[in-house]
Amino acid sequence: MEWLKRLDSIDPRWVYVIMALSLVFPVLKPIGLAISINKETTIPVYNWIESLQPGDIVVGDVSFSGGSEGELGPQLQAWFRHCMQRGVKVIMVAQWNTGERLGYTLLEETAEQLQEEGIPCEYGVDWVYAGYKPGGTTLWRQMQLDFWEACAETDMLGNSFSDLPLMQRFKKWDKATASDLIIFSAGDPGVGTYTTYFPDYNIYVGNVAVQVPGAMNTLRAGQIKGLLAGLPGAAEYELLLDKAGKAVKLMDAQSMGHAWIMLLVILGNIGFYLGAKERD
Amino acid sequence: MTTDPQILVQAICTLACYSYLIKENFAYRIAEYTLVALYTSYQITRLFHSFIKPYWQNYAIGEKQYYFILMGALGLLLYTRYAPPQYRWLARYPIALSVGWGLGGAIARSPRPVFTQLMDVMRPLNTANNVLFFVFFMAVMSYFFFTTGKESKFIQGSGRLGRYIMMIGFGTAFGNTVQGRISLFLNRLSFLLTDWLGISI
Repeated sequence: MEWLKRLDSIDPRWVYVIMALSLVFPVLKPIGLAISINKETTIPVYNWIESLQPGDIVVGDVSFSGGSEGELGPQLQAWFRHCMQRGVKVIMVAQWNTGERLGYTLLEETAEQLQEEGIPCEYGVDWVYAGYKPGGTTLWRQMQLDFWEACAETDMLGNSFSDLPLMQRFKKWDKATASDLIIFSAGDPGVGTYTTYFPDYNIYVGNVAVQVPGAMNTLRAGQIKGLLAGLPGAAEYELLLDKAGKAVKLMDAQSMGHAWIMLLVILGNIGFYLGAKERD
Repeated sequence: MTTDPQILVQAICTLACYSYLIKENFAYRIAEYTLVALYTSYQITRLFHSFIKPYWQNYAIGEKQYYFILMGALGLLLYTRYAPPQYRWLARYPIALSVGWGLGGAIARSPRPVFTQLMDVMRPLNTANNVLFFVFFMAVMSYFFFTTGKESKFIQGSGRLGRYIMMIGFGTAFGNTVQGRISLFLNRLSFLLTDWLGISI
């Protein structure tokens, strides 16, 4: 039983090697573990887009950078796909300059796939990427008064708003033009901008997993209406769309990683308990 | 395997970053320093083109709002931190102004989201969930009750329950952090497998 006592001092490199293996194999050969859909968090986001009429405008915010792409990228793409499938128009802004280009690349990739499938997804008509605008969170207040002026009348690509048909319907950002919005946020500035300046709007959120416990307060208080939680949130959304994508493919590996960590916690505690008895 | 140099650099940097798990090494440091240098230079350039240049051109010069020049000069005082010791105190003025400005703005705007959550605490005790929420909320609050009644057995017991409740909360946050880190690795893994090695997943 000596080896059991050594369980609380396993060489971390073994932990990493086994973790890597337990993540790589399910990615290469998926197991097909079940994914349950959260009724409190994911379903409201899906139902929101389902409840909109073709032609309605929603605003999305890319407030993340490369470090969060793994979780928020699939969420953004699944949500965008849903909007285009329903004929809902999308205008994207970005509070983080570091994720501005990344968000556009992800949407462009999805737009190409949608067009190959015959789903209308024309830039300027079905969606516009206004992108990052300098000025901090107070600029978002200015967007409510005059969206065009606040954005210097240009999108991220340098196109004039006057050349983009969708923008003719979106001179200012108020409840009459777009009362619903979603923010894909990995930190600050993020959701606080909207709960502060847009408290009467229907706010939906896509968060990285580490933010989810903190975001539950705002969900319960009704400040936000729905929440996509990390990679599982993206996978659930993909399943709701009946279009399994990257998130669904990676969920087996995610579950295996969690299983390995749970096993380590149990083994570490056994080792610690037996070692503590001897030390006493 | 792709020969695209951009993907190749990304792949090498990804592997260099994860090589830290074995031990700190030269490749990891190169990747780390490259990232920090790139990010810093990018931010400086962006700040110049997004803030300093347009404000100077549009407002200070274009609209003759000369107080922007005063603000710019005040901002430059921040760099007196690198001046000889007898001039370093000058850096406190722009810091004091920006902190005061920021605090004032935050205090003016923050109450609404916070009070919405405070109002949500007042729930009718008509469901088991709400009763539990009320008990746990009071227990956690009593843990932070540092004035009178600290010697009371009731407050002590309630505070202990509050501590366990918070530990469950922290455990949830930690579990989610682990999930986030695995997701981050999976994103890099899928990049290495698909974009770099050309294996479809």
